[in-house]
Amino acid sequence: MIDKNTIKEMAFWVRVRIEDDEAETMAKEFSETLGWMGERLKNPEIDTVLPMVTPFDEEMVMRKDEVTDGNKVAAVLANAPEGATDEFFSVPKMVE
Amino acid sequence: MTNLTDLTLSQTLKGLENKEFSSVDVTTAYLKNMEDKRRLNAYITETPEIALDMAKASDERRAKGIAGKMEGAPIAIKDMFCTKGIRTTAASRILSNFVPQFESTTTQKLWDAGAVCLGKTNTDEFAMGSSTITSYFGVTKNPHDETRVPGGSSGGSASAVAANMCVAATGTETGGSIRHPASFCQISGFKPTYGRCSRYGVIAYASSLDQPGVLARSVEDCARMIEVMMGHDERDATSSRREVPDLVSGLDKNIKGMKIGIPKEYTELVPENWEKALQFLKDEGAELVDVQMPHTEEAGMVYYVISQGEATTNLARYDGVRYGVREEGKTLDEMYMNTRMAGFGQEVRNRMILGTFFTSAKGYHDYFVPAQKMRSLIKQDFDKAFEKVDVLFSPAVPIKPFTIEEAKNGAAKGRFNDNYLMPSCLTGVPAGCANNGLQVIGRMWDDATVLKVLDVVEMMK
Repeated sequence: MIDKNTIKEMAFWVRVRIEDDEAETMAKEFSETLGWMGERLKNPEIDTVLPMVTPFDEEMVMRKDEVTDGNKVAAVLANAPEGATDEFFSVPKMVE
Repeated sequence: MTNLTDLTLSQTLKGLENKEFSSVDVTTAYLKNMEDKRRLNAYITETPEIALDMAKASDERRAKGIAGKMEGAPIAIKDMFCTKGIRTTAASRILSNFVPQFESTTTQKLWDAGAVCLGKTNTDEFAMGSSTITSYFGVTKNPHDETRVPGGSSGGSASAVAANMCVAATGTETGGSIRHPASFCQISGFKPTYGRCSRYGVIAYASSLDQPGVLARSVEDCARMIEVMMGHDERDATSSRREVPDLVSGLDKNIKGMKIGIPKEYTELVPENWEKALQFLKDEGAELVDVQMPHTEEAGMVYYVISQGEATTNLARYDGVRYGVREEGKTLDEMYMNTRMAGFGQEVRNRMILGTFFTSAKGYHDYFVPAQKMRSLIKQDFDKAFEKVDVLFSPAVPIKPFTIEEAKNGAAKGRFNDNYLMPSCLTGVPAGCANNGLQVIGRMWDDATVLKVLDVVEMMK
């Protein structure tokens, strides 16, 4: 069901590399797992219920949309990797 | 003089109150133990200077007659909780240089109550695992047998509590990560109802499952500490506005007339003390009721799909741009790729790859949503059971701790490793395990009854 190339594509989506042989093994194992899960999820009972998104059974109350803090440039940049300036994060050049 | 590090949290607080010893005394004793037992690798970061400063400040407060509920008690913090100014790694290389500029809500509550921070404990990388073998900082050892794992993912916390390297510790659960190591290290652990403790500042693994909790030497200690950590936080929309119950005074050692459900599905494999435990509860006046929870078997699968899907999303933020370790690259993509390859261990990378499938259009439709529906059916099992009984009772982890070698060969993937733990994480109900490896699960928000029954369970010798 899932082949090596799909695994490699998914690895790219999450921006990690995977070697061909590892992707091959993962594809094989994952396909088996999916096959087994697909069977179990065919259980007709699941059509009697709604998907459960969270266990939280109270109303989620958003706080007021107002500024509660700010002006924390130093704190925000405190863990920035090398190359950051006093005001900016840095990334490799993106436009030619 | 008694060995200060042998005392429970309750005894420690009492001794401090009676001025039998100071917080500096007890903190110094723990720091000495931490040094002596470094071979266990329970801590990723020790904070002796901070600990002594906090202990001195605590003693000064007490001298002025001010004492919080945790006043002077030296505790350890799982390295999943952000602590301001103290490196917080999630046991990952990608955060190995990360020093938070803010404090998690639950740890702030502990410091506000007077607790003293001894350091940050080891865990599986991003709390993904049940042995601590996936930690970038190496495996933690089980103090009862150093060839064996402490369980996980809160294995550093469990090992530290069991080896008297702290009086109690925080943990987090996503699929059983407090109760599992508590059981492996023969201590007590408690995961409150999802929503009781704020998740603000706790490094996210799977947000609909993650919940902070505690590990300690007794259930009473767990009640004492978790009570301090609970409460609404406007920075977490899934934290409850309910009043925090008085958990400690509810421990009255009386379960007469209570209906305790024994789920058939949780007794397929039982530990040696199981039959004795059932008799003990009957002798204490409880009524044992057989209940059925037919979807228990599906919990592992549902957890696999949901936790990986949510983890993929949560771990997208580690990109080497704003914080954490960066590995340079010529292009932005190459920098992301190099950073994430060098920063994440294999287990985490694998989970992210597979999680991508479950959040893609096909995987979402065919697996993620059906798994969420199955999650509802698991919840219905609990709802139906709690129509008949007050709490559920079962073993926590019915197997013995595996060796470090066995863990590396995949022993943690066995189904009896966590199948009695996962359903209560998926459904959000409160659950804990006593220091004899037995588990109590309760109704949503009824944390008090779980602790009350567990406290009795722990009396069984």
